[in-house]
Amino acid sequence: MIRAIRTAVERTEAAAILKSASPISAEVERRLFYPFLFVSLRCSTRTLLGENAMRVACLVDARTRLCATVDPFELEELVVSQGEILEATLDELDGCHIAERYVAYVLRRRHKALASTKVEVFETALVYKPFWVVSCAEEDSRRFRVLVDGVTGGFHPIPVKESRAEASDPPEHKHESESLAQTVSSG
Amino acid sequence: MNLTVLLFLVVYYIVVLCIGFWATRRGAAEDLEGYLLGGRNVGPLVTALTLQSTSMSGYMFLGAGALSYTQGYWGIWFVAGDIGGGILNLSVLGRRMRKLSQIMGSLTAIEYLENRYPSWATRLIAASLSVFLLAFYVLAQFISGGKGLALITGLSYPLALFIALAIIIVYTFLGGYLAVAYTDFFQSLVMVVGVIWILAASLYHVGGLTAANLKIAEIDPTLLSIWGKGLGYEGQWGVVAGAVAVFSIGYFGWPHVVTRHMAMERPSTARLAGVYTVVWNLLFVTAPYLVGILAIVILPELEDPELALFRVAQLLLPAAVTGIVMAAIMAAIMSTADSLLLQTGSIASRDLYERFINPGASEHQMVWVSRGLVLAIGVAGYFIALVQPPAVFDVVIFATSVLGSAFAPAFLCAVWWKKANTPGAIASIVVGATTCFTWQIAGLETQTTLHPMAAGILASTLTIVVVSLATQSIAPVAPHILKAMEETENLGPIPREMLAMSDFSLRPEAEEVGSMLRGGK
Repeated sequence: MIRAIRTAVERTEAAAILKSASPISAEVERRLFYPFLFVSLRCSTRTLLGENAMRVACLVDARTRLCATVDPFELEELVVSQGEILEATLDELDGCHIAERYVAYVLRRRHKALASTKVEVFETALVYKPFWVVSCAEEDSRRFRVLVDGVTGGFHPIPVKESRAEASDPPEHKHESESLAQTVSSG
Repeated sequence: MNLTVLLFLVVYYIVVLCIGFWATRRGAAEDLEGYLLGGRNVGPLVTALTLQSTSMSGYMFLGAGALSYTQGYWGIWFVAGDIGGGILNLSVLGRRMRKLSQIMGSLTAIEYLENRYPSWATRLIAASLSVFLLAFYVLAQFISGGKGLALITGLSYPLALFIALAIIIVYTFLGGYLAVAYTDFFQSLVMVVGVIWILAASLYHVGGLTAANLKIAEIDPTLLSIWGKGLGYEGQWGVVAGAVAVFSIGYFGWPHVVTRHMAMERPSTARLAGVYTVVWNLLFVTAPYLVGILAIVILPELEDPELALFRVAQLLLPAAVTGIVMAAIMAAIMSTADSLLLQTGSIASRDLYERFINPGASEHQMVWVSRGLVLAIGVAGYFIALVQPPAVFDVVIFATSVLGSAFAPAFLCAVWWKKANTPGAIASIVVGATTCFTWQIAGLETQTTLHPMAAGILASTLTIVVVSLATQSIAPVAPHILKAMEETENLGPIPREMLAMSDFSLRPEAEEVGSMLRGGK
């Protein structure tokens, strides 16, 4: 059993979104659940107008270590087969550290102040986000796959081949720090 | 001192304070949190105006007017570079750099350089150079703030400088909601309306541009040429190229501007923000230069050309409007100084202190390192601005030229040339900065008719190409970097319209899923 962010874009909608974007045929191949570490933080920054406190939630990609702030979302418990899940490779402590550093940096930049932001983790959980893998074909029969976000309906083509460098890329070259990934709108 | 001007200046700040307070405590709280954390909900118009207002520094209000006042239409070359620079920067560097920095996991521009050109030396040299040059750039803002405040309030320059500097530093230390999107947006609107109002009043006062040109011809006809007073730059295309390059190519080398590419919202928002930027630039960038030219007729005996825009406003606008516009200009200067200080402090704490001195530094310690540096810049800046204040124009051109010469080829090649390697980038940064610096200090522009910026860019570009090619066998570009650079090439036959509508933030998940489907885990 896994805890997943509630699906908002169903199978038929996923295909319809792609068809409305381009004159292609689209058929959902499978559903996948992608792992994220959910980190909820309490942040407070002293400003000219007094202490400003807020709760911030982050999702840290449990495979690539990218971090993004996130809107509130609903969770559901699902029973899924092992083949539908991508394996998490991120340690919880590392995930919390990534989230703390990212949020402190973003808050300082946005506040435009050299003020110390107190960031405190008060909740973490491994959650999964649903995605649809959609097989598409153009009129001339050229085929490609697209990944559709099961929460937002956003989509991105799935790379079809290894990059020339991928074969010789050692695993330790995975991203070592979080990035300025933009906000994930999850609901 | 004009009491009406002062009164409206105070009223203006109270209104800004109220907007900030309202945005913090009332209905906008949720949106504000969104802005603080992700930049969403504020839209491309607010985004564009906020970015533009913070990038429009004291140079626009003092330096640009002074250049036109003393050199006439020669300033047009700088306008051309400035108008084209932002667009060129967004189109050539913006989108690719955003992708690459995200893939490589970089938080700051300097961290990005080190990730792309892996070596501790990259970060040490780039960070040290940036701190030094940005501090210079901030100096121009201190002088602008001091001069502006002295003129508005009638206080002596040393006292006005001290007050402006103190406000800027307190503003930087405490920040808060005075500087967030809604107040920045309001201030930028007042600023653009105010500057255009000054231009319109000036044109009306002199009877139109043609009439002004006829009068300028009587004073000194060479001011009407594009070659400067006394045709001083006639035929010097090397100098012209440098003048255009300062604010076009020069933008590529500004760490504080480059960081914005890394934080850009999705490409569709960036494109729309780009359109607003063009409109803003056309309206706003040209205005201070034109006012400077018109001031030749309006105030022919101006003792300090840097105050051309302020003096014209004082003379032609109603006192209430002058107060509001002056306040907006002062706010813009302070906002820019605050951004620059924040950037300088971040580079010093994160890229130097945490990276080389105390790798385990806490956020709290880093904030104090940043504050210490800001305070040091403030004290040093005060004495320089007091004892021997350089011209705002000279300081800005110096800092921009050296930054551009040092970093533009390294940032450009980072996204566009797969053979650009670490030795090439380090050599390019050092040679570019040294060449430009030497050119300016030794006054080689007059002897060679080549602008320091043009000389620096030529030197750094040649260096990165030659050194990178010569060292390919001993320092090849790492596979993970090549992989990141190839990320746009391995998508397969995707329809264009679908690619354009893709959500780039899903790229990492798509990569991982692609890898899993190809047989990985």
